[in-house]
Amino acid sequence: MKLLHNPRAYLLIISFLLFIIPFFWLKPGEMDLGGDSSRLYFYDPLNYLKYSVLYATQHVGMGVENPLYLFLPFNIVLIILMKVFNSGYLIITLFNSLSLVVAFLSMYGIAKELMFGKILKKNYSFFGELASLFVGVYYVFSPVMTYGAWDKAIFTHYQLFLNPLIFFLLLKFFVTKKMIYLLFTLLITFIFSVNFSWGASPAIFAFYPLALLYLFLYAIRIRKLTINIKNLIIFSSLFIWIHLFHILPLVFSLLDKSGLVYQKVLQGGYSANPALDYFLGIAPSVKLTRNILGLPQQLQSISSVEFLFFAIPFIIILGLIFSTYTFIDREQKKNFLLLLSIFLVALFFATANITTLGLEVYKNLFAVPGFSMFRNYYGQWQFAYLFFLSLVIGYGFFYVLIKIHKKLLCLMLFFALTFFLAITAFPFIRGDRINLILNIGQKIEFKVPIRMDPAYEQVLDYIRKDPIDGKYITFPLSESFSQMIAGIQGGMYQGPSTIVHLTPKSDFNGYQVLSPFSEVFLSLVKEKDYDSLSRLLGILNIKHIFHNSDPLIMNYFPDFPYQHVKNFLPLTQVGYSNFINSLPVIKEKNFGERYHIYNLNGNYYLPHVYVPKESKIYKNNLNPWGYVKDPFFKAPGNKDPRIVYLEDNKIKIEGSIPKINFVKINPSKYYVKITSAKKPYILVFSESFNNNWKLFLSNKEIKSKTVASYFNGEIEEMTHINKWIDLSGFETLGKNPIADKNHFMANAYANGWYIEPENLGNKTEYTLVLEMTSQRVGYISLFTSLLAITVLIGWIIKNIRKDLSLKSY
Amino acid sequence: MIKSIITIPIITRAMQLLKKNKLLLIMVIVSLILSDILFMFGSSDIRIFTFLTLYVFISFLYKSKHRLTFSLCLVFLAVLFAEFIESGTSEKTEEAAVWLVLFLAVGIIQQWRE
Repeated sequence: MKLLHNPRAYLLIISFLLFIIPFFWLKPGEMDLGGDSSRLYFYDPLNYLKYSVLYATQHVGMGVENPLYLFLPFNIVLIILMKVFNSGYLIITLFNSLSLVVAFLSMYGIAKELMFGKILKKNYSFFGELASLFVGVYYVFSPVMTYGAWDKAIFTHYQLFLNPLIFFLLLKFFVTKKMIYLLFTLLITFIFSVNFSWGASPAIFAFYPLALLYLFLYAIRIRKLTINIKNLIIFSSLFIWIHLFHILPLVFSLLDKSGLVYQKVLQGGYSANPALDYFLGIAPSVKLTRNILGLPQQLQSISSVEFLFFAIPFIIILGLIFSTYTFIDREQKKNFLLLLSIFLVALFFATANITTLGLEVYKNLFAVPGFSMFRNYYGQWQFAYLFFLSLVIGYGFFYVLIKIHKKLLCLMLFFALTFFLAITAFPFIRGDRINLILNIGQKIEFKVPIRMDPAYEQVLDYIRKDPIDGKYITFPLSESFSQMIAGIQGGMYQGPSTIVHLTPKSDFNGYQVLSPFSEVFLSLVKEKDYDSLSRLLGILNIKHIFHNSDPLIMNYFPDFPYQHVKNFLPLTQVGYSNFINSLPVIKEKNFGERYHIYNLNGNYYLPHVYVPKESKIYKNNLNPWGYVKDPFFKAPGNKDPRIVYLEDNKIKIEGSIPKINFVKINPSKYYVKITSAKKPYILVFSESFNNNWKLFLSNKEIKSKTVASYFNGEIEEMTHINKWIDLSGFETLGKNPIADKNHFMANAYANGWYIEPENLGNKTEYTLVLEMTSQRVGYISLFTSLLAITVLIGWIIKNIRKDLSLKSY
Repeated sequence: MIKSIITIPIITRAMQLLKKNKLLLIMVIVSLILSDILFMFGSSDIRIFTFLTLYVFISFLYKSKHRLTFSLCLVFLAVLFAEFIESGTSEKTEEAAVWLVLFLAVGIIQQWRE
């Protein structure tokens, strides 16, 4: 009986139950991979780090400058966990368990701190405890959370536990003024830096301004506390210092006209009008009623019991009414009002459709620079809105309990509401949000959780060891950038290319990835112009075709991810085999019955770096979507593929061309040795054009062995090194780039340099460094952040020691 | 300026009349709002803000407490419930939801002032 009246016991029991729930979601060995973020970092964190995170370039298709350093700390934590547990399944399950428990405990902690405040009459503490528990339970089991934060979770979904946790730590700092809370906040922001980066800016700007506003008002107006500005300034400075490893590349990318961020932010990618159109497109479907009830906007499963959620606003309103009759601390009532005021602001931002005037005000906000990030506003505000809704409900419930006053009745009400929430969240508890079916209604349905096929793991291993620096194209080609891989237990991976993320090779696996050649590629397939198609593959530096001939990935997916491409490409796997055999390819290797790798014939393949023998002029005709309209590379009868297509007719290739051999140090750096360069020539690097690719003269000698020779030894590819940082590579610092004024776009996408003997003091033999210079920013900012995190950890240890010695004293 | 208006005899008499019929007036306004939710087609900001201003004015006049506003929120919640059961998130349900939120906002402002 004593236990029944001890809410602390409930805290432990609920935490334990939440912890074990995710263990029912996946079967041992399964992982819920796929979705927009691939989640492959849970499957193979080490290779994900090596091939996706460490470089300024991402090798998706033609390559794109997109530093993903922001994943680095989380990725390193996953590598350590993988060393300990050696199981992606276990890591995912533990991560889910901790997400639930941390979210629950943080919300409980916040509610308790707020409700208990400075003073709370002792006879109300039982009600405060129960209400705080209810806040935590409601937050994790609310339909908004259970239906919106778990399926193929991308990194922004981590805000489900990060928002309450960071808020809790900051609240504790404001109340206790202890620096240790700020230091732990910094450590968490570092580990989950991706959630505090520009990639997560909508989520950050939806939650933190409101949360901080509330915290300041609460501390100053309600609790009458003084704010330690000095510590806050130290916190902010340390935050920036720690996060320099992604902030600095962001700033450089913003200042550089060819940078991804500049193009997205300042060149129309995030401009107001398309964002406003998008907003107006979705606004009518967002219903205020559902938001008041705390229901997600798209929900089918619990429609029969939705009406029961009227209990939520009912409790809030009752709480508001009862609060006037309850003679407890005035601060509590003011805090309830403050929370409710902030909640109404969040409700407005998550709904927009509150009177025509409200909608007009919202529309005008899109004129504010940067507000366009909220075009998909409901998804971006729902977590902030749910956070404040949970606290408001908690407060309402607190006053209702005080009004009831009989402990047993209060307990019964608490259990009834918790039971009701648990029942409505039962599909979530059962794991339905993880065990999603990808192709509902098909004869054979496939779920998201997958146990990776060992034969496919052999494919990845083989590709990783492939000594040639050529790209891959994956068939069947998908609509967007989705690759399909069937698991061995009925699951299916549907997400970004595993070749891109887990091997050092580039992969073209979808129509969008082939941009700007997407339409031309499809039309050549339809015309069965295999010669031009092979030339295109050569221009794109595609050496290998990877064919996943598994019929399961096509036969039961009539729509996504093949809608548009199905009108051009084969409809069956047999059709794909015939199509591939029509191309000038040789089968290189089979992996079981399903996976095959083919090699493109040497008459078409162009190495990653080459010197063309001939230049041709083309007109860069683009359709409104930015795709090339004409197959300008058609050259029937031409046996040597070493042609460069240029828009400018001033550049001419005269006479003999030099011999080259090249070696890849890492995706952002190559050495190219040039011999017999007597005349001006063009050097083509088949990677997306970017101003930051620069050429420098090097004193280094290439000492690798030859792994491939092309065109009678005129181009030689050496053993690639694949080293993240080449310390001797800082030789280019302070040096002037070569032929930078003659750096142009070749073949409608690649980098080309027109190099004249005068550029190199009329030397005929020399070594060039081909470098993505923004990688240097990555190195410098990473080392700076490393220093900052060392300082932070040292500070945390010092604080803990100090606390321990004080306690023992 | 306001004082001089209030001292005009007709205005004074009208004010006294209004003060005597507090319950009736509030009922009229609530009826207007309910009819706006239940019987009027389409949402109109003019109607919404006219009725709301009228309510705020009456509350100011009677110095009514926030409790009344929050109690009216319960009425709108009941209407919202009935509409939701009958027609899901229809236009009328949304209208009731808007009124609920507006009254919550008015109640909060009233309580802050008190």
